[in-house]
Amino acid sequence: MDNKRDLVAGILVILVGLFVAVESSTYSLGTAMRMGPGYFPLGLGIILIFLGICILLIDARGPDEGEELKVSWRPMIILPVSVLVFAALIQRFGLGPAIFMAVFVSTFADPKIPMKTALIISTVMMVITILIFIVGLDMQTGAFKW
Amino acid sequence: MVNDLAQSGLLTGLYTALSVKTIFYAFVGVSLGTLVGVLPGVGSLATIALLMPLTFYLDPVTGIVMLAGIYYGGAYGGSTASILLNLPGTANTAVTCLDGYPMTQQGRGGVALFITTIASFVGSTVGIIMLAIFALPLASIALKFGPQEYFALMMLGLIAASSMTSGSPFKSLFMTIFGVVLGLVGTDVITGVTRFTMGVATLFEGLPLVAVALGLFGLGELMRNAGSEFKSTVMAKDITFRSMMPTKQDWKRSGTAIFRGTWLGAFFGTLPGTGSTISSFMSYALERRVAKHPEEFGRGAIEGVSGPEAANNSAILTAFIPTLTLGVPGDAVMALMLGVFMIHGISPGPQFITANPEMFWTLVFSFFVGNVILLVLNIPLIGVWVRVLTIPYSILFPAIVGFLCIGVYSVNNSVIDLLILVVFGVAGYGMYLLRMPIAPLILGLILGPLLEENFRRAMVLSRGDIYASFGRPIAGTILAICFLLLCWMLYSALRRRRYNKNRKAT
Repeated sequence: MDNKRDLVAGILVILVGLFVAVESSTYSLGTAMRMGPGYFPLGLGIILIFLGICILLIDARGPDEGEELKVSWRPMIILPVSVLVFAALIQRFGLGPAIFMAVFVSTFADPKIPMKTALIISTVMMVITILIFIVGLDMQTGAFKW
Repeated sequence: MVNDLAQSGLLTGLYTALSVKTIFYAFVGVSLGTLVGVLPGVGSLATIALLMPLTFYLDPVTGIVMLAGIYYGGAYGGSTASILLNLPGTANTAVTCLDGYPMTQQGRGGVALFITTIASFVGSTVGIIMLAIFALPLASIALKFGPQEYFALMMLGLIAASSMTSGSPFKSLFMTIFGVVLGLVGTDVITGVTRFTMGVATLFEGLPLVAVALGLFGLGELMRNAGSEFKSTVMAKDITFRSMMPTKQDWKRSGTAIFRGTWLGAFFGTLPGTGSTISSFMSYALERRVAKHPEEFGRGAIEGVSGPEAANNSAILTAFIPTLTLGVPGDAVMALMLGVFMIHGISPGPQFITANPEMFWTLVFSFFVGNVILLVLNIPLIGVWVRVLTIPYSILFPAIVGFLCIGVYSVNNSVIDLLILVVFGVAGYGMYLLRMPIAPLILGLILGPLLEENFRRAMVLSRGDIYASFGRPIAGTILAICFLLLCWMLYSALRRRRYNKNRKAT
């Protein structure tokens, strides 16, 4: 098998299907007429496993159709981190610092952005979002908390 | 007569649609739509999801007026990027690149922009008229539908949506069903048991739709595009009003193309799975087939621009017919629209629309108002949008990250929602790498709980006989179509495999 992409996809699909089926079977199944909470998702889980097998047997044996697998690691790591920074700051320090830091961190996803531009974007975004969400829409999170 | 009119809610709807508030939100919607349409790398789906939290501050109809404006405005703006940059601003304008960009290279970009706007306007207007004529009568038929019919319709919607994506049918079916499973997360309404929550209390009410949609479409897309550059070579001063005027020949060739595209779009827009993107591709194929000079296609044939642009806008508007009358959306954007109603505690469907016709008419009239605004935004003000094209992506994407964070957080003031955003953002990027289509997943996520509920009710009615639904004329016919679609998907997958094998052998 020279098609890594579909191989990975097929295995992941089977794992998801297995998880759904196993988790559903812990709920009561009921009967076809009076279905319990497990009946419908168990059926879906079994179909998912079947689809995973199809991907492995049919798609993965053909050639890879998309262009070469190229993962852009930098944005894939930086962007989630910037959201997490926002999550860490918002309740303790308020919207202003949270949005400033989140936007600032996110600019590192593109190494070509100069520091000065990054600081300007972050400041402008802080002002705009405070105006829209706190002044305009009366959001209950404070702009700045110390 | 006057009494009838009052009762139909038509006048109330017209009155509301022409109120300052409704026009204002229609204006906000279409301007934002044009803006994100023009900007490559920012999709209308992500923008609609991003503005969903804002609709909490509005009544549902005004919210839909704004979000719908983003969708059809996006199709107007998307063609600008397609024509001037050879980069589709939105998926449903991708086909416009084929002949729109060659027109720009020949110095006829202005004409292409002008004719696109006219085509979009004609397509939208006919779409709105179809919506006005067919929605209410269809709803009164649908009032008689039982759970079997709804189950069948939702199955058709889900299967059709997964059959229309390019690539492996197994992957798209997986994404659809996985979406349904994600829709089941939370408390089971019938038994009160919580499912797939891993004990996280936030998930008892189900996955937060805004966080999931923004993760998959917003954050995932940013991971893909951050660091890339889109450059425009056309300057705003190049597009003068004079350069936009089509010749007599252009009008003649576009007229019939617009006519054909409009009806094609109006028809396919109402069907589940075949939304505006597919309509635009079909219109292009049709124009090429009927053209006197098919060799001009791909080298700046104006029919290749005007036909598809009429088709995609017409399809966007008629897609509201099944969404509003049956409560069964045909594509991911319509599923989000349905989500907005559901967030406000309304379940769209025949009962809702026949009981509140004035809301329906408000939507119809405001769609028309929105399209008139777009005419102004896209002909006299085209220079503004051409300038927008020159904004570098390196400034845009950090700003979008900011809006994503605050948009998701503002829904429930919940940090957990932000974590869900991150999880689905990474998952969305992974799905893109594995060539798994994301749109069917959103449709499944929204239809999931409804599908299960109707399935269970149908099974109660048939006393556990799974084949009983096939015996009912409407439900049976729809389920038979579902079955045929599945067979066709399997057949084309196997045929493709054989083709690939032969290619490998030689």
